[in-house]
Amino acid sequence: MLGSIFAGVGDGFLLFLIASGLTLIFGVMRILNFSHGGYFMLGGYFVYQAVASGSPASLPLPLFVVAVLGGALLVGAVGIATERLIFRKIYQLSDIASLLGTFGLLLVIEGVAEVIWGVNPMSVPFPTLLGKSIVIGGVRVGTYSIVLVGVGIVVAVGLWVLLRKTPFGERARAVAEDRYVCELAGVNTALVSTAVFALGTVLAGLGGALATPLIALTPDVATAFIIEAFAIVIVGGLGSISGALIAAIGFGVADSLAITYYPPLSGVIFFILMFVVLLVRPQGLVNNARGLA
Amino acid sequence: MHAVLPKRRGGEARAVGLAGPLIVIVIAIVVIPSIASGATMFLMEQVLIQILFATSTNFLFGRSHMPSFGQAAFFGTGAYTVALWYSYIPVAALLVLAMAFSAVCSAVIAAVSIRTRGIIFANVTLALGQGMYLLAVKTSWVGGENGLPGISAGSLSMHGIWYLTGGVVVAAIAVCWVIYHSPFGITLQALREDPIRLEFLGVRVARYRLAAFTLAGAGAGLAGGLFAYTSGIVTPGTMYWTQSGYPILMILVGGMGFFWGPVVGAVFVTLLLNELSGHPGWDLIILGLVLIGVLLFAPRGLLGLVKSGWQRFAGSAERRDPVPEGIAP
Repeated sequence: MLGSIFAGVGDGFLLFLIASGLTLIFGVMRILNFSHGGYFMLGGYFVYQAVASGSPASLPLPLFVVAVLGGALLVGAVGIATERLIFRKIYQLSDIASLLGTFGLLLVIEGVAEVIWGVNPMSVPFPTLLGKSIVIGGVRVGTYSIVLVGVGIVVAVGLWVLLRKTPFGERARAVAEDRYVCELAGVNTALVSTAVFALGTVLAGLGGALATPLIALTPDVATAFIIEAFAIVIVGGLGSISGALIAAIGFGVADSLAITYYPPLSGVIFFILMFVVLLVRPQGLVNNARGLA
Repeated sequence: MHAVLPKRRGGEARAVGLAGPLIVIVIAIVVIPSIASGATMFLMEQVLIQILFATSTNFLFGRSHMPSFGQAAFFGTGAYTVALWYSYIPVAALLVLAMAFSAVCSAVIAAVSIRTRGIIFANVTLALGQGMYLLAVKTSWVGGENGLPGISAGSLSMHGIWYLTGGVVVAAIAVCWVIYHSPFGITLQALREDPIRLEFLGVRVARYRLAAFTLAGAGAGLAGGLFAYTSGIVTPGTMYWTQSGYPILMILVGGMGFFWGPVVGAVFVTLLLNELSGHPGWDLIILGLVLIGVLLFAPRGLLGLVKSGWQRFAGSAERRDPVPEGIAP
């Protein structure tokens, strides 16, 4: 029971990585981004590409760490390129049109991955030292779950510090609050947008990179994970990072418990929870009409 | 954004608006079997089915601005209804049943989703539709991930199925056209422009939204039922959420403000996908670029381009009909 809850918390932090980027981008640019799942998937493929030449049986931990960080940064570079080329134009569209525009971009990214890597599932092994489980206080926990929890906490705290305690965070929150006034005040809002987009896509890439040992990597991963991430940001309250964290961990734990105790419910539990939460609180868990919380 | 009120037109002009394009479709349905191979006929059947799917989805998306991202689920419930019962129930009755079952499912989903608007509505329909997809994947008596193969339409031959599909789609399009231009359809458009004012006027907005959602679900279910008969197999893949994006894509490509927009878009997109089917990956890339291109450069779709191009060519400014609005820029 406790072991499966802990595994769920690990999965929850993984979901938080993708959902927090989605939330950041929505908060500052007011755009719900379907293509975010594409950046997640690219993070996975970049790691696969980096470690593919090695022996399938063992993946040295240092190589994995370098591949994950490099993959995440590379995804950020792709994010900056797409932001400058395509999103600049999409921002100006209405809510629905921009949502559909990002759907188009998701199709393009998935198609590119299909052309490069094909549709057959790829797998990345657990890195050495991280494929086992250890017993802590009578509870058996996977070492990889510990890593996910650790990374998730670092990212959550880091985001809080970045948004609350730095000049960049101040600007990002100000643009989220009122872009027009920021422009009048001389803030380079285009640069803030690009930076926030880069940050969001790095987080998505990091999530995808860390997910590689846990999933079968196919281009479909892009469309599968974005739905769960959407469910999280809607349930958490659009634009709220703390809400996304609560919802992500809640979903992760519920799904993990479902896998352990009633497998048919795994996956479906996301939509049941979303259904229930939206019936009770249509505005999501953390109400946050404007700005980043 | 002010409402573009439909001009009053005489019954004759309206009838021509329906009959003209419909005659073209009927002629195609009659001619194709004598000139086309089996594979081409199958492709054309899929074009007809997508025409029906996109046209019924346009009651939500184009007519009432309810961007549902879950219509594939109702297409799927119709298809599964046929797949489960084809050996017990005659074709005509089963298609009606498929339509009715999908209508019921969409009414249930609508009960929750019409409480929301805009992108949240898109997300709620997306999530609930995806939930139905997962249910199909995990339910063993509907075949799980493999779906249900071996569906046959009783004693109907290949040509029989062709005329069945053609007849049903033509009849359904005619019914859709009448509803689209009925007081009910016009009210949906008003609801798209200004729901709050409509509520003040005493119109039960929620009821109209529920009705539009149910109607669109019924149309999707009928299209799904035909899909099951023509393809002979139904898999959960037909309910996957990206499949819900295709009717929206078709509507946008053709022109969401026109009744015939989804028809043009369905023909264009289905044939394009078929052309690209030999190049895995490229089909998605081209489709995504088409979608982005339409949103940025042609929000009124192909028919909007044709209409404004024709007006510029003809140049008779005082007799200008407004070109129907596309997706809000």
